[in-house]
Amino acid sequence: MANQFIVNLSTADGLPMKEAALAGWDATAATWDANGTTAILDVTTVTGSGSGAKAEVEVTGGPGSPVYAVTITEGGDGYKDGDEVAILGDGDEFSDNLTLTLTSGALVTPDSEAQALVPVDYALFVQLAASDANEVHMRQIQPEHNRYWKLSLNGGTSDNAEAILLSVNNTMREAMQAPHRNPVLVLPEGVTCYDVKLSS
Amino acid sequence: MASLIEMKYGTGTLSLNVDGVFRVEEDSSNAICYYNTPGAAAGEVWAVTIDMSENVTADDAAALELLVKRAQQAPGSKTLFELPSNSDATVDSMAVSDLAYP
Repeated sequence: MANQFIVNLSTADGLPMKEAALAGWDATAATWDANGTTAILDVTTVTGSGSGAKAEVEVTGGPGSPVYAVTITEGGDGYKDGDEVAILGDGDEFSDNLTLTLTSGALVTPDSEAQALVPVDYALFVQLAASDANEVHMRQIQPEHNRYWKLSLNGGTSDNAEAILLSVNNTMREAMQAPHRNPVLVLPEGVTCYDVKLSS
Repeated sequence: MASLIEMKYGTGTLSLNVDGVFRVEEDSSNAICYYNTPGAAAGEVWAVTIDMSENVTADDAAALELLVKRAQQAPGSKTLFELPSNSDATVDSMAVSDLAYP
């Protein structure tokens, strides 16, 4: 009989942006200052409730025909298709705003299922992957394999990190101790899980 | 059913599955649990390093090994482990690596 717990998957609270080059920015309001690569800049939210994303911008082409190549360096969370975001230049490479209306392609790809089953047969322990608590790992070992189940979350912060980790730990423990049941992971309020994957 | 050791963490406890642990050692003020599971490298086994908020002593590791042996004989158990040298210590982190047999 399998030991596992259930994770309800949701994108209702939005998603992080992909940490990758992101095209399509409207630069009509931006002002070229110099060619070069900016420091890490905040991605600000014009409409929507996403937060925390950061980017760097490589500026080329010169004042007559500037080109702004944006790379998202931190995905933040809470972004939705149709949200408008902006990057305010710091005056070194460019000034004023680049703007973008997000499409689904700009966001991380969530699991298409409504629920995920997380087996705990080889589970050892759970840990946070980062201090922002948007990624929890459940480690497992098997002969010659050291892997982990990665739970990708939206809404994790340093303030609720402990509560997130304990909720996953307690659900894992319940699944290990109750092989005839499939406990459901209940995350702290405002935190949702959008993807579960076995990783190495 | 898994045999679990619980360690204080914040307002609760974190669990460590100790099925297969055959030895616990102190190293660099951490506790290392060696598992009877082949590691990625030849001749090595998987191990979990437990970093506590206070230094782990050799006596602490011996106490954990004793607790592990007891837990393994009580499937489905979840036993709280406190450092004998400092019962207020909490777990900071756990990490998996493959190590040579000690």
